[in-house]
Amino acid sequence: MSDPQTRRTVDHGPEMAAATGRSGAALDRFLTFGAVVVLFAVFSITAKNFFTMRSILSLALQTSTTTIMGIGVTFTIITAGIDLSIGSVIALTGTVAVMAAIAGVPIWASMFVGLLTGAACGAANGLLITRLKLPPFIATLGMMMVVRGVALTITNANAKPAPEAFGGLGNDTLFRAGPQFPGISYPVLIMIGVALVFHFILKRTRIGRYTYAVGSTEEAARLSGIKVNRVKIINYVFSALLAGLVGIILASRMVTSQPNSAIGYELNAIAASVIGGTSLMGGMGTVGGAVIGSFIIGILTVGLTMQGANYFMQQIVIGLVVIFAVAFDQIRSRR
Amino acid sequence: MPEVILEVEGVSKSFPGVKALDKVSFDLRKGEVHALVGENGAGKSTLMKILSGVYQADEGTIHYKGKEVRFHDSTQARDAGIGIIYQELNLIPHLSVSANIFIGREPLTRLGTLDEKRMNRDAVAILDRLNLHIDPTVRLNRLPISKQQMVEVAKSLSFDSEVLIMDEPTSALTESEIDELFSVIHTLRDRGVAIIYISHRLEELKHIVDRISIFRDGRYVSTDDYTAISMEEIVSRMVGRKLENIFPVRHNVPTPEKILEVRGIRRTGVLHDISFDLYRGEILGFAGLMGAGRSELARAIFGADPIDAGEILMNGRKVSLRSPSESIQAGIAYLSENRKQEGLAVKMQLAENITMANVGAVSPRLGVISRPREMNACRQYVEDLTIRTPSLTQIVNNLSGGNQQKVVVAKWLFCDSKVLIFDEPTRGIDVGTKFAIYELIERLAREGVGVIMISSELPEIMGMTDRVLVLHEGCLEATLVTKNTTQEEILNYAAGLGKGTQS
Amino acid sequence: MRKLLLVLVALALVAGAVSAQEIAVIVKTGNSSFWQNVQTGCFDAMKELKAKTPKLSVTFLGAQSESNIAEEINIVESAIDRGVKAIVLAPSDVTALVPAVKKAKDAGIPVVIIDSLLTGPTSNYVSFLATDNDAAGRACAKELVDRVKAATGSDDGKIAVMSYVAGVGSEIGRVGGFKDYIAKNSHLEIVTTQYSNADMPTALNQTTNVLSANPDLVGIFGANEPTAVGMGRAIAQAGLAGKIVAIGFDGNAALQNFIKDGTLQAIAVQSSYNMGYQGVKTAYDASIGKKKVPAKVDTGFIIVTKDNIDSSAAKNVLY
Repeated sequence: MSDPQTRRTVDHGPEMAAATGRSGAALDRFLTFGAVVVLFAVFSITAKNFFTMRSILSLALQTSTTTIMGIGVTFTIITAGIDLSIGSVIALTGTVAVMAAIAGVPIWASMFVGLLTGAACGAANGLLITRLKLPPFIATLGMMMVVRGVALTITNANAKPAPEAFGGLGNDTLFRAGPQFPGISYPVLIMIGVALVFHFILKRTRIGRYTYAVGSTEEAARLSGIKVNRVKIINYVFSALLAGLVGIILASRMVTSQPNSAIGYELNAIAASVIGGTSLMGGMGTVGGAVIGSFIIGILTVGLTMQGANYFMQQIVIGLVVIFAVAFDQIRSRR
Repeated sequence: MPEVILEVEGVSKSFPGVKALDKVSFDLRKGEVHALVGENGAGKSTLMKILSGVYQADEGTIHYKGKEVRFHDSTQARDAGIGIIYQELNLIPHLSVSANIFIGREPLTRLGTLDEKRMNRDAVAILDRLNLHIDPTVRLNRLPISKQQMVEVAKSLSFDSEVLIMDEPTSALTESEIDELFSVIHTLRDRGVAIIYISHRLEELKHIVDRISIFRDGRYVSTDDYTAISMEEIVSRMVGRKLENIFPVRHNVPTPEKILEVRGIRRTGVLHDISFDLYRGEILGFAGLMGAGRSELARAIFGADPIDAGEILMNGRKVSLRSPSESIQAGIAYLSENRKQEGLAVKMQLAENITMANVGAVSPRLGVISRPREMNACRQYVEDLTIRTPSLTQIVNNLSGGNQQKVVVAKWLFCDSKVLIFDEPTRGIDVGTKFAIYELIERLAREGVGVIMISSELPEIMGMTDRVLVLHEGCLEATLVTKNTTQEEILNYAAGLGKGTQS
Repeated sequence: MRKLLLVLVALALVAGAVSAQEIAVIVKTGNSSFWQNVQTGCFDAMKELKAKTPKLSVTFLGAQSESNIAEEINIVESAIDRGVKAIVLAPSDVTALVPAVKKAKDAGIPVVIIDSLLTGPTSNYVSFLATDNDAAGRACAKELVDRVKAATGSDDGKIAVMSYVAGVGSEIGRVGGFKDYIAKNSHLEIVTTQYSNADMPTALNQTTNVLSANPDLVGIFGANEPTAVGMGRAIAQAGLAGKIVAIGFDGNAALQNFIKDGTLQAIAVQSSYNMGYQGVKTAYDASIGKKKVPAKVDTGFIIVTKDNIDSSAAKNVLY
């Protein structure tokens, strides 16, 4: 057992690991993080007022919603699924929370009701996928329409102004210090919290481990005694719960609920996740990657706008970034 | 002396860090079946890929029909008349037989649409040459695997191949299907086609092979007439040393203590009322032909497939068969023959795979995994089972087949399993590593585990088990004590002939 | 095959019976208070007309979002297929709806276009009722120029245009008119034009970025309802309320609040109610064969500011 020769076969440690295996993903992450830094530097030079505390804080605020959505959808993509209902869930949860607040429910409680609505949508997605055995693409596509329809129906398609206090979460800041440092917005703090918690869940808990296992090889996971259906349902609840959080943040920032907002947001979230190295084939992806992917999209959007770039060019540039980020990943992994 | 059609001289090929082929020479005659054997990594596949144009040689020459050739891609090789049939079929399951045969070069009508009539007519003509009667319009995935393989042969033949390379063609076939394939091979040989036949199943070579070439570690070892060389000699040349024993000396002693009792397992159309016992320290074999229900029985005991009736008891206690997780808790483990799809999460780390079925043991609080505990636990198994890996965080896909098998075993040992069901544990594993797997199985039994071993290789059953259950079409035909039986007796039961006819 | 035919015949019969007197109102999307106001106008018109034709019904339909042009085409085609009496259409694209409208005309169904321009021969439809978007855009520009002059004493400086969906008819007229007026009547420079796709959070983010990139901005124009709301929110959050001249378009409750608290200085409010009301009435007239319906109707708009927001003229159009 303690024969030194056999021991040597295992104890090569990180330098061997660096040559192969998952640390390849760490290298990827390093490169994508490098891309964030380069982008940031380029815009700091070319776009006036981009490199100011005010703009940086605003960038973080604007990107917080994509990041939170991106983290949620990453979980479903790791299980080799997808969640297309995110945009609709955002609209519904924001609407429900605002309506509850208008009806006189305390602000915190109305937001909690919104989160529960989101979680319920996720559970519905999960049940459709595991009980009716629907492909995730179809189940969440259907739910995308159903949830949107519900949001429009209960509001009669009207945007509803929320009580002023509802805007606190989205518009107040912490550590405000004069005009130079307007403070860190709550949504940014929420984003940081979500990223840390979900990183921990994915990397250090059983449910996170099972998420990878199901996405890597579903039958092997089942034959290892993992309750695959339960894992999937939990993942879809995570995704919708985070979408619900985004719905509440956006409704709070607007101090309004708009039932027809957030159309197509799921595609931004998926793009962010994929740029960050999540594989649509399942089994691979990280919370850190989703965060970096979101910030690449966010910096491009904000930077190009501030640079005064033609709006149509922005679309082209962001589309190309999605394509080349994934192409780069493919080429790397083929080697 | 028959004419030499293909001659390889001094061919080498290197990949970053490995010399896959080192000055290999080899010749192939018209109208012969030439076996190519060697362990995994011996260089067979690399040579075949060079012959079929997938790779290009670094040095050396290839003469084909008297002229020096150098193929730049597989299309060139195919057009010159060298066809290859891979282990995994290269066909499209949702297209018809004729569409598969003519894919990429479909005949067109004058209007530019597909000329289905002509395709079907030509397909029939080609299939007739192989004495095969397959409807060319039927969708490929409606055919059994063996027939699909024949379609692959037909497709290759439609290019007027004069050299045909077959890589492990029998790995997915049943006994009778293998006979069918062999008769097609004979037909081809009689028509003057030269065939290179690659197989791990040394047993089957005697039915078809004229000459045999042996490779080891990227080097050519020898070529002989098949009749002039013994099986022992072939194996020892393959592994480069004399294999005294193919199987380890067995010290495990079955105890009288029943560990697993299976009572009346039934699944309509698949399993018919099967009962048996397994004792502590015993190795019990499941023998039978493909489709006899051996894997199905194992999966039923493991709770992986639903059953219609029956129950099982572990140490006298009843086990619910609702899902694998309950069987695992009771101490039963199933090691699928399909390692990469059903045994391992191949994209994940070695350590993560070992703990996968029992993560709870390394997550002491609130489902939070303790990485140090996990590493410590895994390090022990890696040493104990001598898993060769650069690190505990190695991605399992990058390990060799034998080491992957050991990872699966480690996974189940980590669950404290008391009954291990091995389904074809040595499939796709080379001769040298097989021995290590056998040793491991023997050791497990010696340490008091009950082992069930499903195998299609009778010598393996004879060499490794204490008792053997023989299944035929979902029924338990016989329970035999291994040392009192013969391969012939097992085969008779497996074929449903009872004790067999006295001839 | 025969079964299918039977089903189709049955469907046609049922549809025919139900919709013999149907006027279909098809708008860009059912999902905003602007269009809801159009709907109110439509149903009020229906109630009046029912006195003459009791079997009359008005259906109100729209796509999921304003940019979903294909969906709107489908809605028009299915209205034609079920043989409605007349169609009131707010086209979400200047050209894409032309074939569908032509098809309706060929089927003998009169079409009344509301809100947004449609290209192609004007004989395809019987009447065009809309806010004169070009005039409204110019009025917004005049309001902006006047207020910048009043505040800074000159008509120099930078302004930004926050538009909604590039290339739809109303946008071409409205933003086109706005830009043209600015170019001809002032020295203001338009530094950027952004498109929010009528999504409120997007408009908020875009405005935030434009404001921080251009701290010297003197004026900004938000060209439709969700865009103007997002823009107003961004101005308030940047602490610039009242410090730059901000003009919005349309007039829901949120925008009215922005006028009252001084975040926006003026909004151009279209009479969306009128559009629906007169649209249905004109369509009805055309469907009963009245020869002379006016080819073009300006349904009007008014500029609402802090000063006139409580006047009865404003109250009539606000919703």
